[in-house]
Amino acid sequence: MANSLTRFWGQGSLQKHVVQTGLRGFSSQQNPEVEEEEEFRVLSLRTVKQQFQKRREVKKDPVTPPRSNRMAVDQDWTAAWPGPRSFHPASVPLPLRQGFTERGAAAPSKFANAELMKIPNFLHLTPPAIRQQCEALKKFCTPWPKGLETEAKWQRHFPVEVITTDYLQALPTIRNPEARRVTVSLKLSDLKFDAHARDKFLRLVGDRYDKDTDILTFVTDRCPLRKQNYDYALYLLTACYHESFVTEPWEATKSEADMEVYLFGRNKSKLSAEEILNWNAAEGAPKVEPSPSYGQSVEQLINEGENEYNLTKYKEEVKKMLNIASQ
Amino acid sequence: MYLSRHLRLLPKANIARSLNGGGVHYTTASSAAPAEDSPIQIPNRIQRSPTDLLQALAGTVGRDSTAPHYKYHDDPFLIPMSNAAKRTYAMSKESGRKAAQWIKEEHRDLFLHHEAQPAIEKFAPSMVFTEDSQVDETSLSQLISQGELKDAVLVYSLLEKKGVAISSDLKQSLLELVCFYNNEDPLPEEWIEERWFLQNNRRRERSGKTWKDGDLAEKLYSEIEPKTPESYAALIRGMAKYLQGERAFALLQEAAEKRIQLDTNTYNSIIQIVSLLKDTAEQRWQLCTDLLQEMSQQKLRPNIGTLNAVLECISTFGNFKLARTAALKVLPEFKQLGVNPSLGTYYYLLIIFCRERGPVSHIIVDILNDIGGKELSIVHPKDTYFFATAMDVCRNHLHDKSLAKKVDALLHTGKNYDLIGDSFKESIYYRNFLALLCQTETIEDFMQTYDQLVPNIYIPEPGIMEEILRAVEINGAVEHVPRIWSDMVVFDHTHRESLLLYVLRIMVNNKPSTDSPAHQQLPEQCAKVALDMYEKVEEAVKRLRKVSFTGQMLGDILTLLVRGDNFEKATEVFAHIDKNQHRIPGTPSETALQEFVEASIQNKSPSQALTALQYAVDNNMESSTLARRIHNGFTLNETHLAKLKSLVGESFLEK
Amino acid sequence: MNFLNKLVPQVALEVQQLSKSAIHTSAVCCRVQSGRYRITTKRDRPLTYEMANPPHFIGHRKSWNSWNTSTLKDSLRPSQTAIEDLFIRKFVTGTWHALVSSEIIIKRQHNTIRIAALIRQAISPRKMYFLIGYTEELLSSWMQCPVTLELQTVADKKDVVFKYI
Repeated sequence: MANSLTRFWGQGSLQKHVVQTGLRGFSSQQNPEVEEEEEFRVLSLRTVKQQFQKRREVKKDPVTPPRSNRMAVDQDWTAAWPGPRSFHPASVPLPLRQGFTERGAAAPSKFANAELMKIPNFLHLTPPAIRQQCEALKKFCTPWPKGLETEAKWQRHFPVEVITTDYLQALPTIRNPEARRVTVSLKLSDLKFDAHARDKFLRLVGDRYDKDTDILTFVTDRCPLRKQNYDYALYLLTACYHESFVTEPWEATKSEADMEVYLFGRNKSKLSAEEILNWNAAEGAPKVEPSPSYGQSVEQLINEGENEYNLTKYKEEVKKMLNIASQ
Repeated sequence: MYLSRHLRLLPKANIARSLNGGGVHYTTASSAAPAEDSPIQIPNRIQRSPTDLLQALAGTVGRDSTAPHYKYHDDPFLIPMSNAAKRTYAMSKESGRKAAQWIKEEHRDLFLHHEAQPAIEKFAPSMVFTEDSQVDETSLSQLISQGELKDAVLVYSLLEKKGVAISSDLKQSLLELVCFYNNEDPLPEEWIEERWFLQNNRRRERSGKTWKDGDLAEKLYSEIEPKTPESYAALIRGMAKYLQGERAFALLQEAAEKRIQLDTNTYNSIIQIVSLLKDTAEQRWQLCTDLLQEMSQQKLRPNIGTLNAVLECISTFGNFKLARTAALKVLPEFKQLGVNPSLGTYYYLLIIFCRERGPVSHIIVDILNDIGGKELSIVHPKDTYFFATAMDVCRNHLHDKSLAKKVDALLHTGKNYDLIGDSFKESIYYRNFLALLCQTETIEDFMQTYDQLVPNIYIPEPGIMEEILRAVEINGAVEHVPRIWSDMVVFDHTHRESLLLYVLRIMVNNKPSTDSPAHQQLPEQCAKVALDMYEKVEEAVKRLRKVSFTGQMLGDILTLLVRGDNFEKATEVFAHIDKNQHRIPGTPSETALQEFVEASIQNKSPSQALTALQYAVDNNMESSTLARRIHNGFTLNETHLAKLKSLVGESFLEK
Repeated sequence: MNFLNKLVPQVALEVQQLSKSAIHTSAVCCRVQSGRYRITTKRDRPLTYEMANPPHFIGHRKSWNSWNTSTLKDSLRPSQTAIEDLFIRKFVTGTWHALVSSEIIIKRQHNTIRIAALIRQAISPRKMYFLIGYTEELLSSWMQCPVTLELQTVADKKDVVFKYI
């Protein structure tokens, strides 16, 4: 195509110019056709295809061998791999291989192996490195306080436990809304109550008290900041505590349905027992009271639920009270 | 993923905080708690800055001598292996960063999203001030505090146009900013590679004044009425910094007449340019002392800047004796005043005392005793010049290896390496260090240091290579030559003819003995080196900086190839010599030809031997011995005999 | 199909009813074809290890290309992280055009993003450094996180081939 074009314009310099600009396909096939300038030239496209292979080879400097060849056997590895880094075969002097191959074939070598680059490696956390780093950080650490060696001691000196969580995430933000949550917990036995206060406190606190472990837990997250939630939790604790000692006038309207425990003295059972005991009594005779142990067994039975022990105890007490001889 | 922190914050109220004795071993077993309520003391948290922990961890990381500097990518293809490569790679990486910055500034509307919490300012496009932006005094003060010169000037002119009144304090700070930078934006601090490779300082010191007369600084100065001491100080210091000597001095005298109290640093800047104001040493010293007198009259306390400025002035004296006496006077006086010398002071002392054509001075020993083992920090701009000069003194002035090692130890204590300055000073330092070591140490120890420093910290220049080769030659340590040759090839020193000749000479002159194990491989390696060199010179014919063959060089190559038992290549080389006789200056040495003939005898090729003989005859070399050797070594057939006869004549055959 | 309808009108009705059925789940099309490469007749199509193992081997013979914490339970920003990963992959492939010979591996640790890939040594190191500086800076500004590139260069593209299909 352009072969013929250049010859229309004349030979010599223009042809050379075309050759020197490195256009492929316009190089050496011109010589035999130069003589036939006067005649009509046949367009030969086939020659163009052959020229494509004669691309100039770019001369490449030889690449230096991997530096793992020059690494001493006893080098300081912590200096060679100080931080987390993707695996690089020229920097790690180990003959690692990774990849699944069919039976008998060797796994792909470490060079040009993307799998080895993908997996997280812990070359920066070898035991000597960890030891070194711990030594360096020791100067920022203070010793554990004396007198707090056992868990019992902690419990005794520091009864309140505050749990907050910090979140690390691989994101541009450091903020995590979950981090505002604060949990304050303590054992109820560490707080001093009288009976009324305890009852009121437990009613105020409700779900947050776990009877089995005797642990009271406040979880707060209604404020946006952790400090605010912590202050709020402590406020709740103090408020409930102090409030439980105050007796409001309307608390006098506590009826039997509101009672949290069964008291023998208040209930129908006493009256029924008295009736039974004084069934045939004459008028004016002193009332026979049911024995206190009977009252206790009834209370126990109803408060704690029915189990073997309570039932047998109740049976004994009833028999004792009604003077039924045990056969 | 998440850390749970258990805070025990509320102890019982009756527990006082004091220490309990006895170290009970920590257990989690709930043993019976003792009845006594011993008070618990919790030690205070050790205060740390945000980066203290990271710095402590970073301090544990040593140096890997096979790895390049961390700014280069750690891949064999991308590790720089020559000084040019080091510079190019670092600068091209920075130019990539500049391109990215340009795109960010150009298309700033695409980069307005804020993903990072807390927001990172550096990732966002910078503020741009145009003609229409709404500005006021606070934006001007903000820009001045950030040091943005161009924007500050633009905002100032905008405010002036709008007629907003600017407070004189703000004008003063703007004046200071403009004077400090001479109304030119400095190279931004983020282009660290450019700053590292910039060798600007030398050029600036040699050139004349660069202060812009009648420019913005002076305009601002004239606007400030009345003239405060600060405005005088700012203008004087600016003029002095940019070498506008006379006017700065005139302003100083004007201020003195008006009884305006200037401060120490202003006087320091004038003392620095005393060398511009006066010519002879006596006059300079006179002016210096006058200025110091003025300062003491005004009750100004001198600081380290004063000391260094005075020493700088002294170092420009032509009169060595005066310089030395003056320096010796100055130093103790300042020490009395409580000014501790910095590295810059020591730099000036070295250049005053350790001159090339003066008597030898051992002041550096005292200096090193003073600062040895200490962790130094930058106090004065000239501090960075110390290490390069110290090493230069050790090498050229004193030739003392132990001193050099002391200087090196000082450089590597703590963070002192930051004081090496820029790439130019670093290369001077190591150049002198290696040159000194190769002259004064055993070759084995030297090669160890060489291994550690080259190629990652320092790449030797051709001159240093020559020194190293000289040391190798003196020690006859031929086994290191192949290694040095490969280094030379990598560092691109192969265009230096003198080096090539040196290498060949060493290899040829030190014939390796087959006894020692180190030398077993040596003939082959030497032959390989020679062949490599031959091929390189052949290839380099097309390039501009090429070496052309000399006869001597080719003779040496021939010898080495022959010794390495590579006869075919030897014949090739000889054919090359033969063909291009007219183009190659000089001829191979006699011994080279002899060895070639020996080899051709061993390899049973009489034709080669005869070509050698012909060459010798053509070039008027000693051919009789050769001819005899050939005759005795071969059983020659007719043609060969005929040829031999034609070359040397009948007479040889009879002998 | 159509000519049959015209020829035999009673077939048309059935066909209409048939077309209401789920033809897209008919046997031929209901298959997994993601990440699988068709075998060529000449058996000369090169596959890297990544390409040779279909996706059901992720976690068994292959590993993930993208490592971050946003896919864990109750984590933040999973979708934005995934989109950012896509952006990074397209950006790197385009900037290092025809030079990237493997999948691009993105690892996020705290605030930093580390991008790893295999690069062919087809351009001079000078140009590579320019691209490294450019990519790191531009991606840092875009993601608002520090970005580091951790590249491994391979001499020619045949080094990454695992098998020929």
